[in-house]
Amino acid sequence: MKLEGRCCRDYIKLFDDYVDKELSEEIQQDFKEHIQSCRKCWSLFRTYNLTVTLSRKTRHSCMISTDQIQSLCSILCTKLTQKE
Amino acid sequence: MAKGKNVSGLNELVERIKSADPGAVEEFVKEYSSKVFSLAYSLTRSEAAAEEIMQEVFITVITKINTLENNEYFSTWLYRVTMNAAYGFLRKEKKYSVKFQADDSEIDSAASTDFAELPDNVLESDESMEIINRAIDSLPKSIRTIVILKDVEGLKNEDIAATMRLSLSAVKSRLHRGRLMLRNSLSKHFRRYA
Repeated sequence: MKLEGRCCRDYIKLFDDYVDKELSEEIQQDFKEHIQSCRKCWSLFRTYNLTVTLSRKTRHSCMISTDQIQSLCSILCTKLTQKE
Repeated sequence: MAKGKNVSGLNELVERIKSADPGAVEEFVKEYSSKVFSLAYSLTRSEAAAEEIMQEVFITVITKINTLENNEYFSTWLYRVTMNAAYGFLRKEKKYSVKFQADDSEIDSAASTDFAELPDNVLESDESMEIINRAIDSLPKSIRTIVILKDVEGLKNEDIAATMRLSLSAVKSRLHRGRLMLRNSLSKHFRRYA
C-alpha cells in the first residue's frame, strides 16, 4: 500500500525505525519501495545504515584481568564489611 | 548490561549483594566489569580513566545498593551511575569540550558522498575508526551519550530512556539526529576516496 503525501523528508525520518526493525509491515513495504526508486534517499539510507554499523565497530574490546577482578572484589568485600 | 542475566537471575544476584554475600560480589564484578569499563572508555576515551571510573562505580553500587527499591532497574541504574561517574571525571579534568560542532545539515547531505561502496579496508581502517570516534565526541552531550549507549554499547531504546530518564520519543529523535550528524561527518571524510 502506497502511503499518500509522503516526501523524501518523511522517509528520512523513518530511517531509525527501519534500521531498528520497528516499522509495521505496511510502512516498511512503502519505505522499501521509496528508497529503491529514489536515488537520493537510497544513497542517504545506505550511508546512514553503514554509519550505524561502523559506530558499533568502535566499541573498545577489553579483557579485565583476573588480578584486576580479584583486586576489585577485595576492595568491595572490605566495603561490605564496613557497611555491616 | 541489559543483555546480561535474565530477570529472575538478576533479581537473585541483587538480593544476594544486598545481603552482603561475597560470592555474589565476585559474580557481579565478573558479569559487569567489562561492560562498565567499555561504557566508561567510550565516554572518556581513556583506559586509565575507565579503570578508575569502573572502581568508583562498583564501590557506589555496593554501598548504595540498599537504596535500590526495584531490582528490575538494577541494569539501568548501573548504567546511570557509570554515565554520571564518567561525566564527573570529564568535568573534573575539564576534558569534555566540543571543539567543533558536528554537521547538522540533515537534508542537504543527501547529495553528498555515497561511501557505502568503498572497500572494507578503507571503511574499517584505524584512521576511519579515529574519525568516527572524533565525530561521536563532537556531538552535543545529550545526543552523544545516546549514540554511544545505542550504537556502540548496543542497549535497547527503552533501557536508554530509563537510564537517561527521558521519554522514548526523545531518545529516538536524538538518536536519529546523531546518526545523521555522524553520517555527514563520515561523508566529508570519505569524499577523497570517492
